[in-house]
Amino acid sequence: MLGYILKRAISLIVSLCLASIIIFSVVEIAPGDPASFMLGINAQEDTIAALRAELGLDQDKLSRYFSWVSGMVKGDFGTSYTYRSPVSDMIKERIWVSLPLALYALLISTFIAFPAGIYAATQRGKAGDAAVMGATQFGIAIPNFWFAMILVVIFALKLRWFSAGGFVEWENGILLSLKSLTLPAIALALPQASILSRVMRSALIETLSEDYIRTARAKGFGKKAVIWRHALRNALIPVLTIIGLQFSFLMAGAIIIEQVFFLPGLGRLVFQAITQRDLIVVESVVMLLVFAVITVNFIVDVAYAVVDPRLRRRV
Amino acid sequence: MSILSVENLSLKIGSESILNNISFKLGQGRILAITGESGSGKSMTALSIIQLQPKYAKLKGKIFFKDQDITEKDEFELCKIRGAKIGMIFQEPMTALNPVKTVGDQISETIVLHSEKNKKSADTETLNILERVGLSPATEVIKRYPHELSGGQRQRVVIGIAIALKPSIVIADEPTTALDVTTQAQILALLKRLVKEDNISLILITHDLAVVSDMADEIAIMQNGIIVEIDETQNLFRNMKHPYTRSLFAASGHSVDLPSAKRSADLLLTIQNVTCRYRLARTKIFSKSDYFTAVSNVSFDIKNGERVGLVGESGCGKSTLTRAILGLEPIYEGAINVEDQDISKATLNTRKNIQVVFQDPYGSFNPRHKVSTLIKEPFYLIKDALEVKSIESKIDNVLEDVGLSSADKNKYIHEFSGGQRQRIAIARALIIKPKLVIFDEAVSALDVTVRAQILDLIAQLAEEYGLSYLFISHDLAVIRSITDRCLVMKDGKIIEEGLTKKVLEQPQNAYTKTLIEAAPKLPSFQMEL
Repeated sequence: MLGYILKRAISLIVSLCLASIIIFSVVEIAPGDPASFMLGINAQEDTIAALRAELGLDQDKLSRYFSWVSGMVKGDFGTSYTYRSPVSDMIKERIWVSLPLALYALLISTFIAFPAGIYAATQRGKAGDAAVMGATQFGIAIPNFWFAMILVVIFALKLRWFSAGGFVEWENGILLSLKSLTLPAIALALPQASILSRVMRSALIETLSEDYIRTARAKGFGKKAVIWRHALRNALIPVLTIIGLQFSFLMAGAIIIEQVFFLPGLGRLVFQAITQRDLIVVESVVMLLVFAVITVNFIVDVAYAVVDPRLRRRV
Repeated sequence: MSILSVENLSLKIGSESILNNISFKLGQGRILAITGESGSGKSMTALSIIQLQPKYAKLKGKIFFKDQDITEKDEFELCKIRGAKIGMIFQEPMTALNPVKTVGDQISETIVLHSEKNKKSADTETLNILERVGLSPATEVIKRYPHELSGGQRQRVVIGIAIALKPSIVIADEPTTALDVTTQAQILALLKRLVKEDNISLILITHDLAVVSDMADEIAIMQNGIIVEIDETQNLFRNMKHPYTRSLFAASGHSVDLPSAKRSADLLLTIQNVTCRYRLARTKIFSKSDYFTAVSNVSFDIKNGERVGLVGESGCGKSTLTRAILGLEPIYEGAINVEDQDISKATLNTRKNIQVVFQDPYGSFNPRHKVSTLIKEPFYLIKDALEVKSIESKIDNVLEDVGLSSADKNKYIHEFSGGQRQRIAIARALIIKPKLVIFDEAVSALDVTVRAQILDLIAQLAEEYGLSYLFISHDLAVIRSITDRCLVMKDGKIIEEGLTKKVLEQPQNAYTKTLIEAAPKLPSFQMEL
């Protein structure tokens, strides 16, 4: 088990190194000089050169890469070209919106998907199954920004239970902050929950046809007990894979929902930074997202081994 | 008094009748064997007794356990009977246990479920059970996961689950079919001992008459969902009233008229000091990888016209060796030559000299191709392509040679039975007239009567095509009937080699002796056919 975790950890570090190189190169290749962009079209040559020197853009690529990486390790993400403020502060502010939003959405998605998927699997071929499958089809088909607007119309404008947008800072009370994240989280969770229920259902149906389920039934376990005691844990591997992928998606892919609800999240930050050629912000946020995705994959890998003893010995 | 009495049991799935009016009684402490070929309804009978038949199956008739009709019980009452009063052992020990739970948990949960005991005292009892089924040290085994045990050990665990609560009846559905002969002998002996000790009534379901003959008190022969004959073992074998029983018995002890070989001195296949090995998973992250030597320093040759058998139990390296001969497996040391051509550097021209017939007649064909496409595939190995017309006539001929008709070439593979598919596999191997055919457990997945037919076919084709072949099998009876010379393999080495008759009648090696003794034998009653 320890060997397995160690090997996963090594592959995590290697992936991070590769990702940092790729991100840095892509941003380097991208056209547009930040200094000339910031100073506008009529800027003097020597003013631009001075600004480039100030931003450190005149140094060679290798040393810029290493100072970027070593800065990140120490928590220093550099200074934003446009806002002239430390990138780490900007990210810190935004991540306290994006991370809770992603977790919140994932929690809702899991809490809907597990019971729905298990129920559909036990009712396979019956009306209950058809209802769940129909509902999930619907959930996957609806674009989530449209669903978000419907939520706003019903719960914010008509019922006035929630505000239509904006984020209440955590200092003003955790419950209020959570409340302001509820509608966006539901909008994000709907398609994820639909996909996850379908995965849960098919994984469980497949597991229920295994020989050891028949053995358990022959031992005298009832249909429900067999699901809890024998089937669920075995069906969990594909479900964990999808949960891992969904979390990564929710961290980075919430940009449209952030726009709809006026949330100051990471997605919006990246979007703005790209339009303003604020490369240092783009690099840092993308690197951070990559870090989150790889870490989640690492956690999922470890979870596999916890669930399935056969994987523990594989090094 | 009988403990179980099945009365006029019928089972239908859709419009298909699976069981048709079967009746039998099982006495206290007796062993009843139910025998028949695949599809005869043996397993469905077993599942019906514990009411775990598929839910869309329609069941009629009565099943009395003691004095109560099981078919009238609800799910709650049935759960109290299953596992506690009627234990069940299934065929495939590899998949019958939950891979994510320790074997100890899987035994003790049965005890906790049916008794007032807590987990701790159930664990103590589990230790006893593990000792009883011959898994020691029990304190070690109780913590193991199924994947850490061998097939035979897993089947012992399954038996442990079945007998944990000293049930009145144990139903064993093909308990040893997936196991090697020596393991099979041990498992059967264990089962026999346990049912005697606890006075359990046993229903033993198997396709193998030889297994049944020295275990069962009574035998029921099933065919197409009907019990055609049921009698005390001795009487049944002596009288054999029903023709199906006779044909089953004849097929089980079938001997083939293998035409005498036209051997020449030309070497067809030479294997010199061949070693094949695999890299094992590392046990620690920075340790060096260990290697598993699957085939170790093996040498033998096959001359033109020879029929050679290769016997061994699972894991002995025979599959690795087969793949190496086919050029599908890298050789670590040594050389394999087909007519002086190194197989690892073989060209199409050499490869066309070797063809293979695999074990699984269901998995070894592409289901989307017509039979004609499937069997003309080897022609790709021949450089100067033949005319379409002559290929077509060859397809017709070879199909007729293997006992099918030329009209079959336009069908798809799912339209054929297992035996017919194996005929098609043989046709595919023979169509380009190879010099050597490798039969890799080619009859192991077939029923006894079909197996007898295929063996006859191979013998007949050996004459017509002047075949040389290497026949790989774990079944000594098959090797005996179809080969001139045989090799016995164990732990990657050839441990005995000689004329088949001599090896099987006067084995020199101790392992060969155990192998021969462990093989179940038909009773030697004289039968008039």
